[in-house]
Amino acid sequence: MKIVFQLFILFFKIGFLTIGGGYAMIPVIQVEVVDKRKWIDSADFIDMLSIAQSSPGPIAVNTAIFVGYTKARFLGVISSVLGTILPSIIIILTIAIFFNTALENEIILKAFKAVRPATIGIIIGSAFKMLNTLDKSISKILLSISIGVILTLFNIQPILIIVLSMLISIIIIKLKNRGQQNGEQT
Amino acid sequence: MNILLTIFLAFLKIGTFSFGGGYAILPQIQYEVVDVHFWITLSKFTDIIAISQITPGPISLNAATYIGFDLIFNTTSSIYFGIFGALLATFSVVIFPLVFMTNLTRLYSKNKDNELLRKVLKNIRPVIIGLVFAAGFGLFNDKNIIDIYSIFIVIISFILFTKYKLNPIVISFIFAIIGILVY
Repeated sequence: MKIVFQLFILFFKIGFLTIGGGYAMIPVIQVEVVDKRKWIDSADFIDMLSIAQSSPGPIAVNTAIFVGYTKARFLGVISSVLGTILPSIIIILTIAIFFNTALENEIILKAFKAVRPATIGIIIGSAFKMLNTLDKSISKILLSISIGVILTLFNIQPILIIVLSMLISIIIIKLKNRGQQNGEQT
Repeated sequence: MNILLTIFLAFLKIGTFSFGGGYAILPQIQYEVVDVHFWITLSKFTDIIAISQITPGPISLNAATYIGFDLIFNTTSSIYFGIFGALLATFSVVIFPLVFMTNLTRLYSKNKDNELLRKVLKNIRPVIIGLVFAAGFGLFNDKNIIDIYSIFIVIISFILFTKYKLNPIVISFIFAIIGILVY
């Protein structure tokens, strides 16, 4: 039961303090769940990203579901998701009810001029840290970065890329297996 | 009553087809609330997106909460009904992903030791990491990179995060203060 509460607190904190949308939350979740708490190892974390991006819905919510389920099944899912979405609801409602235009606040605007580029550095840094899981293979690392560049230049739906690369991967594995079997027969 | 059902269905649809998260969902929301239902104008929608971007939390959820409130508040003039509208829109967005993702996770943890699944997930790792890179690279636009200092900030925050292992939340706060002082 304690873990269910911890999940709620963790995702509430992440939801409350991370600005810049879903992908900005990935590095924070990475630090809190993989590095600090060691709930999930870094390879499983990437598996989680594969799954989270294959499901509809905000990536932050999907990651919360994965972590919640892994740690405490359905109760974990509910508490992690509530933790993730409650801060948004509270903050947005506060703005909608009390300040019609929080945007006009000059101090906030100034702060964001520096926070936005910082978010970019953090997201790229998060991807950079994940390169550690590629077995130090230079070709895989280069492949990863070039996919990043290609996806930036061309607007392709992530789900299409994931499904396509899964299919290609399955075909290659099957072909290899068949090749091995044939090799054994002869 | 009718409007509540319409909101539920519209945001359920948005949540169900929102592959790719965040920015990928925004055109879907725009299509439903601006083009199909005429609930808000395009300029109001742009304002809502701007607010969603500078507030914590997933952008699509922030937008759903705001639009849900705005819609019901404008038709009933009651803050309480408005809050209900916000909750309704937000839960409608997450309900389908919640069911879908929970089942995907369950499938994954059941078949985690399946050799084919493990191989496939391992093989597509470079692609998934590429998607995260793309999320970062995609933010290089004239809204986020406004001058030469922006480039320095990108590099410094990258180093603070990867080399000095500073918590992203701490990095954001440091730069928020720097932004207030410098700009």
